[in-house]
Amino acid sequence: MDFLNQDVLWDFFWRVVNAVILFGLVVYFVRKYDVINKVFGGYQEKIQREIDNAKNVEEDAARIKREIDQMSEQAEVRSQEIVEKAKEQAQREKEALIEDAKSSAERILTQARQTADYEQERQSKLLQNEIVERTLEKAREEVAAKITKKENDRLVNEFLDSLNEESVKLS
Amino acid sequence: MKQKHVAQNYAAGLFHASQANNSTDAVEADLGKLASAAAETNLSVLLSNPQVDKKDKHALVDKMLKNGHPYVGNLVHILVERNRGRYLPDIYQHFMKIRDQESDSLHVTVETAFELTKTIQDKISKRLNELTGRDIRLSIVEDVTIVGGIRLKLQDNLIDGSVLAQMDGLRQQLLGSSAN
Repeated sequence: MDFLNQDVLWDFFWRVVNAVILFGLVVYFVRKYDVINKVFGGYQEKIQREIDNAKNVEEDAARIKREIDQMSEQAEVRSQEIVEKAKEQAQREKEALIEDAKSSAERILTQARQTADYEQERQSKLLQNEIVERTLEKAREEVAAKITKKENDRLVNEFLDSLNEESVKLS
Repeated sequence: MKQKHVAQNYAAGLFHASQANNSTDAVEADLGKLASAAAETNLSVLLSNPQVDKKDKHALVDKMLKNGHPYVGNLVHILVERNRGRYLPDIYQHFMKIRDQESDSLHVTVETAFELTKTIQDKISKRLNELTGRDIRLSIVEDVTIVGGIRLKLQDNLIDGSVLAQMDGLRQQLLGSSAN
């Protein structure tokens, strides 16, 4: 038992020595070639760059958001202006249309009055002409029915007496 | 223009032939009757119509001028032959003008609604003679549409003393006053 314990102890002892030597070598080389810095420094820089990039992206996003907000405000103002201008234009066109409609209505009314006056005058004249024609036709019929040869001779004599050199002048 | 020229030629030929034959009065009377008939009816159209048989036209002329002067008959037959019956009224007018010029007389057509007595006819001739200084030859045409009075045609001059003319004057006055 003691024998066994002694071998195991020596074996353990040498194992520990090996381990210490190996550890020492590893530490030595790690320190010598700055392996940790080289391995983990790259990661750190990469992470730092990514953090920086993320910050830049965030800043860009914030800037873009600001610009979009600004553009949105400008667009709102512009659209407001356009709406106002459109309203003004529409109002002006509406007023012009109303004015046109009024003058057209007045013109049509004036023409209608003139046409009515003309038609009234024309009808009145036609009626007067008709009355004159009928009166004269009636008179002609009555004279034709009543005139005698004696009266006709008198008319002829009066006519002959009324003639003068001018009236019989030949062309 | 052509019709006027043609009518003048026919009228001149007829006048000089009748003058040489001392039959101007008779020719004038017959031509006047025929011209009046042509003006008042479709006679001139009928005589000018090429679709009407010339034999029928000649027969009609012979019938109308049975007792008429042969010169007038001959002239109308020539017109029928050449489809120029429509020239008759113009030929009559030119015949009158030529006679007026040649004899220093004046032919006057008197339109009347009533028959005129010899006294009235003489008075018309005398009055017109006083005013024109020329011998007057009257043609009397009855036209009841003038109602009363007379209408004188001296060549192209119309002197209207009819009741119809007075009524036309009255019409103008009334229509003129109604227009104002």
